Amino acid sequence: MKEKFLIFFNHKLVQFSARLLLGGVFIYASIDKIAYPKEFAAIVVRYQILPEKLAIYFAFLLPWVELFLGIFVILGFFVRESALSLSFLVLIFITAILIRSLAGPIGDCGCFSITSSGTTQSIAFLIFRDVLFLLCGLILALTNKAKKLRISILSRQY
Amino acid sequence: MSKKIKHIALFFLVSSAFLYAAIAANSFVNESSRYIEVCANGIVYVPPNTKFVKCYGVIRKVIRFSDVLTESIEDCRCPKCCDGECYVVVASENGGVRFLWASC
Repeated sequence: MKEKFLIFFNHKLVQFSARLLLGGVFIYASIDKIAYPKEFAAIVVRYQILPEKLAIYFAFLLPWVELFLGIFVILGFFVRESALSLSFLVLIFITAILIRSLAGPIGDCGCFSITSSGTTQSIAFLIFRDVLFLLCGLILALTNKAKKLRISILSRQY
Repeated sequence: MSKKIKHIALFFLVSSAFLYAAIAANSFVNESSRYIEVCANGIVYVPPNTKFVKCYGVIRKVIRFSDVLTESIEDCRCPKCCDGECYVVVASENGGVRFLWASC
């Protein structure tokens, strides 16, 4: 069963699709945030999870991290490390959405478009979407680790 | 590309991102201290081209100004929100009042 799972997720097409999806989503998500950094900082501050100054610093750093990790995943640089980092980021987003949702409905989550203020997004949809990205990231991280392990075992045998 | 070059490039990339974030965030923090507090100080004047305000200390983006308010949106006064936005009563140039809609 485990072998079948590994063979399926190690397939070139599955790997490429997962890399394209995860990388593409994060590159797309970073564009508006880089174009409108102050608007994004205002959104992050409104989450009221981090102290204001730290939230602003995080808001200015995050889009570039998303962009670089997205590019790395698509181009195949540090795939395991980048996919793990993106999964960790998605976990942070899920936690932030859950914490923010305790205070009431989320207005603009600041996930993708910063300029679309005035739209309320369903928390269930946001979580579902993030869980999909998390699974994608974990698949890439775990299968790339498995690949490395398999190669090292094979090289020891011969 | 050798692994060493990749790691050096990565180090410079990460360092520049952190440096940029620190400089940009610092300038935004300085700028945000000048934002007008619209919720805690009664009715205040807000210039029409204002992009950001503060409501009880929290930075909010200005979405639009409106001259009238319909009865159905009475419960949307900041910090209460409706459909991702809330309003605050502010003073206008001619001494009257108008409504500033901010993002939630």
